Amino acid sequence: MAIVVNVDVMLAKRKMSSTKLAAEVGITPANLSILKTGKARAVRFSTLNKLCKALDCQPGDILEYMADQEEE
Amino acid sequence: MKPSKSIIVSLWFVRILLLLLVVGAFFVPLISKSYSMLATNSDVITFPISIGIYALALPMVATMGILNALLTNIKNGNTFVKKNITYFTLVCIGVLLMGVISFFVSLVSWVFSFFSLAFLFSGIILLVLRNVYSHAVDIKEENDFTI
Repeated sequence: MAIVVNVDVMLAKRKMSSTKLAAEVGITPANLSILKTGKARAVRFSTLNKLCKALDCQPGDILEYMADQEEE
Repeated sequence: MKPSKSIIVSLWFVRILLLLLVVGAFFVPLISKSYSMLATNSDVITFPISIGIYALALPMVATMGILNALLTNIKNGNTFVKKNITYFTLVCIGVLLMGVISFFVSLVSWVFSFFSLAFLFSGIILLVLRNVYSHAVDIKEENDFTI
């Protein structure tokens, strides 16, 4: 997948723990881990909205397109 | 999730059938001889029919074993997993193989051509269902990985 999820980068920038983010967004730590490791197939707009709100950032800060990682 | 009664009944049905097949294997020479006497008034086709039935029984037992594994997976709540697609594919191959073997046995006795048709028809239907199942697994996986 050419879409890279930079949640861990934003977490480091905001000095926030994964557990706290998961609780604020309302997803399980396991699902947040799926998102962080790039295993997720899709992200709901509602989840993205909550992530942006919790991390005080833009969707572009979380998601990034990297053409050289294109596969499938 | 509690498995449905239908799954449990199917599982036991498959196991009983598997047991009957194994027990029935001991009576194949007797059945073949009776059939041969009935069809030709001699035991001239007893041996080829016996070989044919044994050849049919092998993929049948294998298919039943795979069906048992598939149903056990479903009973345990692992319905839409990739392993089940493999099981489904193997069942399709088994049924189609039985159709082909029946076709060759039908060269000795035409009655087997009906079995051949039935197996091939079932195999094709199972192949279609396997593709639908495979698509369902993909959708389930996509749903599971949607955050």
